Amino acid sequence: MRYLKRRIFQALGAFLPNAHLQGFATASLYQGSLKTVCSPLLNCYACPSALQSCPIGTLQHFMVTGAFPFYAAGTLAVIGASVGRMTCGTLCPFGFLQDLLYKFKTWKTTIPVWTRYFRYAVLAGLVFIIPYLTQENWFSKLCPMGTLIGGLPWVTLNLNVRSMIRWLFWVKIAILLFFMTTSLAVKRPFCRAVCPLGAIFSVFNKSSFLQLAWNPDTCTRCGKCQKICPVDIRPDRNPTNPDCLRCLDCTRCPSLKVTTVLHRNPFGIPAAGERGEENFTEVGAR
Amino acid sequence: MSWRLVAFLLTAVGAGSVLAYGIFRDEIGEVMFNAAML
Repeated sequence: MRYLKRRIFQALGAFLPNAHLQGFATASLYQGSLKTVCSPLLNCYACPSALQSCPIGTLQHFMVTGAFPFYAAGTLAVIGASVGRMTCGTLCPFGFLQDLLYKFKTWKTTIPVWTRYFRYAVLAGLVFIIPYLTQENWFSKLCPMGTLIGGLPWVTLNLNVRSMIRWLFWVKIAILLFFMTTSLAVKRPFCRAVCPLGAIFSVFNKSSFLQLAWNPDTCTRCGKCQKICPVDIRPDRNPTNPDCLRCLDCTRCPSLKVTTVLHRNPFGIPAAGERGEENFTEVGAR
Repeated sequence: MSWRLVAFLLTAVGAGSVLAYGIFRDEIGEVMFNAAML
């Protein structure tokens, strides 16, 4: 049921920020007041149906102008401090696409844990440093989500845009195809290794208001939580793992539970003394 | 009070302040302008 709910949320996360469908008919961008909102999703604001702004595109724009992006950074920090990476797991349309592609019955493999550090390099390099130095939004130029819902629709809808196709467009297509193909075999490769928005939110996982709690007393270490995890981690080993998407799929197991930072003992486990267990030093003192 | 709660409170206050300052600087208008220039 929880899994189905997540799929419904993901479908809404894909549709609602792109609900300006007449943009496809008129081949124009929505420019109303909702475009001032930075959505907490990797959702291209160059998509003809996009209602909101891309937070990564906004961060790059401010880097290009040489100003600190207080509004975009504050928006992402407020969301991160509240729910950590939950928007990645429950709303992000590109994450949804990768989840669906992984459902195909093909050969499956995993990627090394160290690849997670690459997303921080992408955030620092392609979102902050290179745009600041070159005055160009380099992550947006290469973003596979931008290619899928921004680049491809515009090339299809507008002949002038089609005539502007150069080598960079084919690089973007190759990047998109690479991540779509690898998603057939690997769980969410883009989210785990590349996504700069996920890199920002993952910093907040340890101290966000929403937390995941693990009960060591009831856990049998069966590893089923890893099998159902969309990013292939063991939540029982580290419930505050920066890779955790807070999708809450693993809370189907009674040893894992969603909680808040206010709860110090979410499972109500009695302390060692209250359980009647004798302390070693106390036994030795008798 | 646990360190996690203290970290959350500090983060929340910091994040809220940065967001409020961004709104105060009228950066929303610049986001709108950037979106319109796409």
